Amino acid sequence: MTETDFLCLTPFLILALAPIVIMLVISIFRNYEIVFGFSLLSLILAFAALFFIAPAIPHSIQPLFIIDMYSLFFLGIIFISAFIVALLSYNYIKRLEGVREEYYIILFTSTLGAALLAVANHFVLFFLGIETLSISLYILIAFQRTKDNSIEAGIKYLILASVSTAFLLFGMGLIYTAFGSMMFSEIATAISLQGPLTSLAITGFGMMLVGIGFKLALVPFHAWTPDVYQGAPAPVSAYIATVSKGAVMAVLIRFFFNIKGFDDHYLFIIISAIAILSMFIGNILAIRQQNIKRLLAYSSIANMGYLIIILLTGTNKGIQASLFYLISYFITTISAFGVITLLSNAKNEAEMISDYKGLFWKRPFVAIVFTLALLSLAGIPITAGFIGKFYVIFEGMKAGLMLLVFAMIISSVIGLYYYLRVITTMFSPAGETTLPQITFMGKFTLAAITISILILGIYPGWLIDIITRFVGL
Amino acid sequence: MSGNQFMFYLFGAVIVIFSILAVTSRKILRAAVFLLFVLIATSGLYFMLNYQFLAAVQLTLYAGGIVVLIIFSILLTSHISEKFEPIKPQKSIFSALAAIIGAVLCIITLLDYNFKAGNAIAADLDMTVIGKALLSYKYDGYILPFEVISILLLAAMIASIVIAKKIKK
Repeated sequence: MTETDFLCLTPFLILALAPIVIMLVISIFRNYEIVFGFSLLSLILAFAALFFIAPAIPHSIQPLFIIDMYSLFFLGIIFISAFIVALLSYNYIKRLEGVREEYYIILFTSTLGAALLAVANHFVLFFLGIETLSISLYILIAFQRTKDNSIEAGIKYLILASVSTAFLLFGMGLIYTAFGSMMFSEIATAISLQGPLTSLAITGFGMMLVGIGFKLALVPFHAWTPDVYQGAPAPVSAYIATVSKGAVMAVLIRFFFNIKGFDDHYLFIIISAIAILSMFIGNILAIRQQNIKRLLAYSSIANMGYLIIILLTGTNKGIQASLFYLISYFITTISAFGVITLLSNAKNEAEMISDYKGLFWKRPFVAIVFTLALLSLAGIPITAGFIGKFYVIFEGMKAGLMLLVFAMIISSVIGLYYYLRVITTMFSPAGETTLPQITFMGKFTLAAITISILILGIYPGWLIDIITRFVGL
Repeated sequence: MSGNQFMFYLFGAVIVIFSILAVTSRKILRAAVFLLFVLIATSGLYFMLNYQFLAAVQLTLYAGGIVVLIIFSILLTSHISEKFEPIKPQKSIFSALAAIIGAVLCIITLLDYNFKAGNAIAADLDMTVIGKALLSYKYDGYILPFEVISILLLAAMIASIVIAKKIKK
């Protein structure tokens, strides 16, 4: 291995070292604050390391890793999101009984898994990344193990994720049979030599789509989403919705664009169908939800449906649109779950819509943050969500995907209904519920996220400029 | 039918029959034992392909190690006499449907695939080659994924301790 190889691996080394250090520290003496502080520091270091790598890219460590601007961008988003999730978790995890420091160890291993997906250029790393991520998620989801629905969510995710991984592996095996390589770029070369995809290859890609679709919670592989979001601790739900899905999206986009999947007739139809189903089923099922975590789960299904339209555009512009969309979706989702996290207390989660009755009159700041987050999820102007959706629609239209774009617009309108329902509940006369005090740190984090939602909504030019200048495959 | 063909069909039949038995059996310990037969027959297929190393790993790790682990955890957590409730007919219809669709898909793919007949027997890789590739940090070495696996196992270990640890009051 060369020096450049090591340089490029620094963020991963930091992420791998941090859990080991935490483990050693808590075996000597347990201190929640120290572990928390060290975790934040390590995530900042990992993020800072990205800037040192930047001059050395594009660089690939054969045969598995590819570190280019695209992966650096995803690594950056993943680290920042993990950082914010860690910040929001502080109070939430502190009040749990039993072991708490281990939460941060597992947060690191899962972030490492996610980060590996962003640089994967080979099925082996793809699979290892997804497994490291999922194994850590099983436990993060079931972390409140004294609660019934937390354990239930963990076991559901464990069983369903194992099944979906089996599909993913089988698909990889079939593709290896068809093309004789597990490297994305070599598969792409083999495809261009062999001409149209054989039925073996299409079955292989289809099986892989089942595995990936499960992780992204696309219809018809979405059944786990509401239960897991509901049972998991609120910051973990935020983590699943952002880091886990973003990382899988990163590897999916890289793989799909490498093999030029959009050129194949069958894959085109399959992905269009999944996209349309996800948008409509996600939005329609969300309407009847009384539980806000389940509502956000269905909303995330719909949002991922919008995003995979990008796969079919087949242009670099499309990838750039997807990056902007993901960033706006990440900050919006984190701020929505951040509100739930901060309003939950030791006894119960603030997860029913009725808990939010009259929130505006009791906690105006939190209510405004939540309103903005919901408006951004719905895609209302002056929020980041609007620009993200607009960008995706724009690129979709340019690529001539009229049917998908219309489906996206119609289902967005359906979606608006249930977001507005929550907002009107918050502004209705106050109810009887008692709310916990919100810490300064929580308020500060929420304010920072909300300001970035507004900045990206009002003045998105600079970020689009950065993305279009640097990022492409 | 040559001896090789006979063995292939024998192993194939064992795998199919015992897989079905493993998922339909209502006693969990029996299901685990049926799984053992499936794994052993699979290693037989590897032997026929001349992949001695893979076959040995399959036998020692899966048939030897994992099944024993499964049986241990069954004995520790449940009663042997316990039976699963029979599956509701509605559920079994759906799962049969899913299984049939999957089988049809596989059969279509197999029939469509252009198999080439050949006499060459795959040469088994030397053990030293496998070992060196796994630990080499040069081009084409697999030391990095090897390290990732160690983190993965670490995560799994910590996770199981966290979930199983007693809560101190």
